[in-house]
Amino acid sequence: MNEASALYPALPELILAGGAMVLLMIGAFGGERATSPMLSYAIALLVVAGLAIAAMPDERVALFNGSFVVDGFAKFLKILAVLGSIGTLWMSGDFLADPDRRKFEYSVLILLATAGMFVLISAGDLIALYLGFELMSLSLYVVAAFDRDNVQSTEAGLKYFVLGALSSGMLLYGASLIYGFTGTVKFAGIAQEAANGGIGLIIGLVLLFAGLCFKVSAVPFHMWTPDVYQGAPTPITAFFASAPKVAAIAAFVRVSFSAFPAIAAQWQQIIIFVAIASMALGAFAAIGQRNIKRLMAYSSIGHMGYALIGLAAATGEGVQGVLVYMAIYVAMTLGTFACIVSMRRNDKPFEEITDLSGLARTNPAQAFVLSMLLFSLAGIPPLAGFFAKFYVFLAAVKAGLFTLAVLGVLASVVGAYYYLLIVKIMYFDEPAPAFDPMGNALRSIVAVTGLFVILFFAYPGPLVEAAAVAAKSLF
Amino acid sequence: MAGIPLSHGLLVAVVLFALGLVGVLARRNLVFMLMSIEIMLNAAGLAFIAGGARWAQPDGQIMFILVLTLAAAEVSVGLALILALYHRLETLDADAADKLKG
Amino acid sequence: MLALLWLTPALPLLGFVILFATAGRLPASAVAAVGVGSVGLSAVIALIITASFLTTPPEGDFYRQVLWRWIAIGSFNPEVAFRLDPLSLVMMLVITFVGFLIHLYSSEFMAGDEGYSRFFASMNLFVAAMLILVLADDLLLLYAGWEGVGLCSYLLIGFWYRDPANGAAARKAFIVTRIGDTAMVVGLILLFTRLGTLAIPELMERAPQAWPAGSATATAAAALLLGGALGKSAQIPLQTWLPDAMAGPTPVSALIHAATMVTAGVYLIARTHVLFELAPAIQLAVAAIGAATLLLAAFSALNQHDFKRILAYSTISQIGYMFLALGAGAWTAAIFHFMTHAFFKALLFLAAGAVMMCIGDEHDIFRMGGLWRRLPLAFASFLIGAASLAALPLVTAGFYSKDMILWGAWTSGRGGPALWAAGLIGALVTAIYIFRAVFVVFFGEMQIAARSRYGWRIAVPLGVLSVLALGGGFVETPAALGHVEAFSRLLEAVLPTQREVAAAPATQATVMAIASFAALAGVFIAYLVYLRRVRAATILDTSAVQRLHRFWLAGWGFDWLYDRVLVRPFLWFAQLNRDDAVDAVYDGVAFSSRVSHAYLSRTQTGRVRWYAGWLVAGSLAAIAIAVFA
Repeated sequence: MNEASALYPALPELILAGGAMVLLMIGAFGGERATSPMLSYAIALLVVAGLAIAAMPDERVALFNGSFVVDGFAKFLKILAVLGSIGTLWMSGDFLADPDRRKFEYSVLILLATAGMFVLISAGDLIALYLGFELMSLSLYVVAAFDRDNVQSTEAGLKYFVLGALSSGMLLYGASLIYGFTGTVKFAGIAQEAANGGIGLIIGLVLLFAGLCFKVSAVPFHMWTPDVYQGAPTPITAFFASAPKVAAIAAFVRVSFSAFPAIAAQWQQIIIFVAIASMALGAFAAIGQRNIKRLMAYSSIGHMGYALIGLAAATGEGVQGVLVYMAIYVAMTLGTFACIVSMRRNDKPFEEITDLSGLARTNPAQAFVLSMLLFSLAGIPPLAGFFAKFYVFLAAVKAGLFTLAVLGVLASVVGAYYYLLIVKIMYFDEPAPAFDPMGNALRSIVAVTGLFVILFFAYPGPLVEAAAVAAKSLF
Repeated sequence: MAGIPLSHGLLVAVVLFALGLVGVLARRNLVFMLMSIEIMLNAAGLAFIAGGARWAQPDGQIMFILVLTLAAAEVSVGLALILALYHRLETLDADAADKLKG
Repeated sequence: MLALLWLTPALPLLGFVILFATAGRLPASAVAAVGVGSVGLSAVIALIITASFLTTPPEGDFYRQVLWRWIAIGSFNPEVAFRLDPLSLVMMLVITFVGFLIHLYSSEFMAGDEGYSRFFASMNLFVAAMLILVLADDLLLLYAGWEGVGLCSYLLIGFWYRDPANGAAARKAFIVTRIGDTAMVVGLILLFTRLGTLAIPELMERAPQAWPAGSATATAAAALLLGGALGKSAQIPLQTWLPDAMAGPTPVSALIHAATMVTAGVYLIARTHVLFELAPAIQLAVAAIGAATLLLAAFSALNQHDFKRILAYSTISQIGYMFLALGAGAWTAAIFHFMTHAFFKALLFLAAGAVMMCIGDEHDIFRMGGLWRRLPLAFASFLIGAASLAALPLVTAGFYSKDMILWGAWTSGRGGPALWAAGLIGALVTAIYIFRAVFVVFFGEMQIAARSRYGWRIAVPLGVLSVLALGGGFVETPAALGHVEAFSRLLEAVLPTQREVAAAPATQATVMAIASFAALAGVFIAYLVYLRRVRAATILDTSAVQRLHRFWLAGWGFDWLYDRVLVRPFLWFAQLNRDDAVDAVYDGVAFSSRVSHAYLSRTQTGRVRWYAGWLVAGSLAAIAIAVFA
């Protein structure tokens, strides 16, 4: 009894892992008919897990001899990740309704990926980090290629797999070097030894970062992103863009601050380089894109660059900025992708930007909300995206990184071009044929995220303060 | 046991890792690429073992067992994906899968 | 009961949200119910709050309601908070109550318009923004309301957007007031950087401690805030937008461009009066601008043909009186005149709207005439409004408020008699121009077919406002006439009372008698010239007078002047500067963006081995950075 209650902090992970097993059984016996109810079960499980997280105390609790840490930071990011997963499943109804794709494994894989993210977010040592990383990645490789009859989806899955396996190999090798030079896999232990780790430790750190950068698709580890985003089924792309990014950023921040505070000067340089490169590439490479999913891939590369600015500041305020950024980013991404998922005519998906032309006349409400989301992605005040950028830039300036902040502002100016271009196409071009009517699920996501993005400015307090509390638990 | 210093173990690991890396970059056959990645994982595992021996701790070996199992899982996913692509493109050439670009 | 305060702006805001979200899909009756009902409820709540405030005044004579902390960045942590004190109480009552009457009137006046729902959405948003403006405890929140009312003003002036002229009028209003708003923003930043807060009570407490009277910073801050007030309240030199703003529907002119929004500048100055007292030069400028504006606009009003433009210039002129009072330090008088002006000017606009509705939307007063038999209600209410505006003695509200201003000017000490004389001449001209309108529109020969066709929703607001335009002044009467001081007692807690000048009641009575005489004389002159057409009136047809007439008709040529001095040189320069170096910079940015896109896009080859190569290269680069950093 005592031992069971000691496991309480890991309850959300247990719910997801156990639930996924049960669903797998139900699917094995129920077959295709189970697909659609299983979507609801999976959402219910995620909601329960989310509630369990919300009920956790803010104090730091370490389980399994320090491998698994639950604190305010983990709580904040797990809730974000679970929201991303719920949003994904919520908008997957239409995709799974197609007879060729009525596979129950979909929901199970998303549950397992989410469980992996939870472990990754709560990792307190290199073993848990790698375990969570792989559990998340393996599920993601499979869902990327989920649309088996579609050659693009298969290609996307394969590319993601090959590069992902390579990057996780690098991460693992980095971890082995860190272990070899410090003699411990615990973050707290590494923090004590890091100061005299020498060059071997730094190489290990860089390789570890390379694996994490790959997952957050930071330049120059971003190459998979556009291809996979474009090739994967759209709800899956929404998933890639939201929850795993949260988990990877969480691991990034936690490793940086709890394992390597002693060599902050070194990793700060890497993050600055990566952040600048990501912002620039996200801005410039997106300009000429025609496929909106590909465009969103570059957009998310750019956004990860901005989020990393907060990490580069290497201060508590910086972490707070990262957390606020990720929360707003998840909302904007889910809303935008819900709009992209709804781009269907006669049950066929359309993905070109020009398919949106004249949307303001065929569906003014959707055009309005999508414009708000795009303005927000561009960081135009007073929408939420502006505040996201504001907090990271503020942290950078306070940390003395003026150049980084200025470059960030410049990149967001260039980036604004392609968001505004879509708005222009929606409002001023000749209307293309109307899309199929939006389902209620998509409509609710678009409405909720749209309201969040528009009204955030009036009452930013709760989110910002929650992020501050979460950030404090790392220091 | 104590005869092998850490540096030797790490050196072998580096060589293995580099071999795997070059394999990924140079081979066009997807199955060989997969095998090269496995070599990289094993290099990391070897480094963990060497580290565990150096610090006289079980952590390195635990990690190695974990790596083995996860590598097996990874191979199964990888082979399934390669098979799926082979059904579509009828080739194992990695460069043939380049429809998504730009 | 005071805790209900947040509902007063929240209800109209909710009405706006409902109307905006349904986007015209509601039936007209539902739109009217939401649009009018939300403001009506808000007025009821305002009444309840007032009753509670007056019977059991809260400690310190103010009530502060913090809704939430907006944002916290270092020392900058403004709260979204409302402050109810006698000043904001008066403003809130007038806004909700007059606002409700005008909404009720509009529900009939705008019936059948295709933008019915859009109209009420904007009107509700306006009321919400205006209430936020006057209730704000913080200059930042005040500024949010300030911009909100500006937006609604823009939307409603251009309400009939299919006519490009209306769009141009809306743009003009927006751009001209923007000049003032920019000054105001700079003022806010100055105040924040120097005093470290934007909360009004703290500002008013810290300013006298930080700055001696007449110091440069205080003067600059007051001048910048005055800039904002001039734009919003259409005072010289930013007055040119208001006559054109009459392009909007008449209820809009009544609510926004007469009763409430244009007096926001008066409110702002009264609210920050401590700053203006620290800057005597600026306060004198306020008085001088007010005096100049009231004269200039009155003479322009005397020469207009368009019914609504007469009232527009009249509004500019009456706000000039309020500025005169503010500048003279007669703070209470300014707010008193704001209140009575809201009553009688809204009444005048609504009556004029009712008249024009019944004669097929004719605006030219010289094509009307003899309408009093056909439209007795509109006539009676317009006459009452005109009497109140002309400040006919004893029975009208306008008399008491204008008298208070004139007496305040007389005793102000700084150029008192000159300001008083300006006000007196203004009073004479005011009586002439408004009774010119009365005689030309309602008397003389019938020139146009009129059909009385307004229902109770138009009649009731006219009736209620008529009562207020007559009786609203009895809350404050001069010493010689009963000496009621209810209004100034109420405002005592917020606005300093004027220094008592040792003047005999006899002097006050004399001054008052002269003003009364001016008003009556004005009516008589209007009667002689425009109704009896006495022989002397032929002087109006001489060429010199005609030229003056055209000059005044065009509002003293300000539009002409601004067009030549500002607009054309700017356009000319912009034309000249079409392909300048700055442009080339942006073209260069666009070009280099395209080029870098082309290169970056080429790196994305689609080949997985190439991507793997980048991973490796990136890691090596990162190692190099980390090792050599």
